[in-house]
Amino acid sequence: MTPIQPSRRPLAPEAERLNVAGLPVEWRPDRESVRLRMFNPEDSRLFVPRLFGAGWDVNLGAVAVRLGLLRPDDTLADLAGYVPQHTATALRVLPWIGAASAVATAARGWRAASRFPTNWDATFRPSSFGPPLLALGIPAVLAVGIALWSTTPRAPALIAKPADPTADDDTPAALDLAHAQRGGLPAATNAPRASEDVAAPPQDPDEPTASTPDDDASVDILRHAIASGTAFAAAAVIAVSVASARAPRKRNPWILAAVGAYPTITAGLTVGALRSALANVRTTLRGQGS
Amino acid sequence: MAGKRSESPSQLRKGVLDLAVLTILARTPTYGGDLLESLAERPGLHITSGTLYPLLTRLRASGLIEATWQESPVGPPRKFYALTTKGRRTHADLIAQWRELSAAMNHLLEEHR
Repeated sequence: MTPIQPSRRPLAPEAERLNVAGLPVEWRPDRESVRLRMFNPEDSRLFVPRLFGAGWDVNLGAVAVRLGLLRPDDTLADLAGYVPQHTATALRVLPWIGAASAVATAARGWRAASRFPTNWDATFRPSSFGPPLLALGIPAVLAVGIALWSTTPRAPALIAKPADPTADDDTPAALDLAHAQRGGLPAATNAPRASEDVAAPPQDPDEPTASTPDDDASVDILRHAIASGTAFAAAAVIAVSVASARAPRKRNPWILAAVGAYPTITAGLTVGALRSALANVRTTLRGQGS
Repeated sequence: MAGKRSESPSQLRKGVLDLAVLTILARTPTYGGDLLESLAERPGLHITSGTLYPLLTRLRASGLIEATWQESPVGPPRKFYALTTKGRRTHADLIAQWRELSAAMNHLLEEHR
């Protein structure tokens, strides 16, 4: 029986950040170590330096662990290669559904009023207004932009790669490209393909394996989850703005739900993908055992 | 001064945690939760998951341990950690260093009692 190994390749150490007046400042949101920071179950800190800009973000991975939804070592890096095909497809499509919802909601509400709320006070009443281009157009463009970002060619981010156990030096396995070419990894390169719904077990280490960074299974879970969360949150904000424009003096607590949609959807999709990957690993293990 | 004194034990413990984890894994491969329990049985080595998992990640990144998915009787599959060849060599080196160090320290402490 070939053991199924977690498809991790160790992350490069996090590069130094700028600190301004005690606040961490981040300007490289597409770096793997930065991106994974906002969903890192191994890190027990609830607040981590922001993905982009100054300040801190919530570590949604730590929240998921505290809620008992994941274990601390259920990491994206280890499980990305085992995400089933149908989950990977859904993750790719969702940002576009969110973006389409945002555009459709903005188009439908465009003529509902001449001024739309752009801000709400602590009692959920609209506190400032702007033209539709500002209140509806910008969130819609943001939703489309983030959906586009989610489809840009993938960096070799979550292509996992285990440490070479036979290596004598301390070189991080991530740099050991020869190992990848030998096929001795159960990572994204050996992950489930479109034609199969379970992760393929690691191949014979002596057998060469083609490296396929665009393999359907090596979906960048977090990027698609972030894009989906942002696009659906933008659609929700637009819907709330249109509703508040129709009744500008009324409180609209739905704005809270609209803003909360971003972390909820991002974390929910990531946890869901990881759990489906775990189920996939279990199916494969049972298949090997029978 | 008081702060420095209170930091010392945790710094000492931090230094031996790698050896403690490698020693448990040298006996038998196991998963994170079991490692936490094994360490908790020894009061001086009790650590939280917030310390253990980053440590396991670091040991994996150094190629000293590897992980394998194994079925769990309860819940989803678990990641079992085991020593690699390099890890076994490092473990043996660390044991030798520890013995030498602890003998020297015991000797020193006896002299100054």
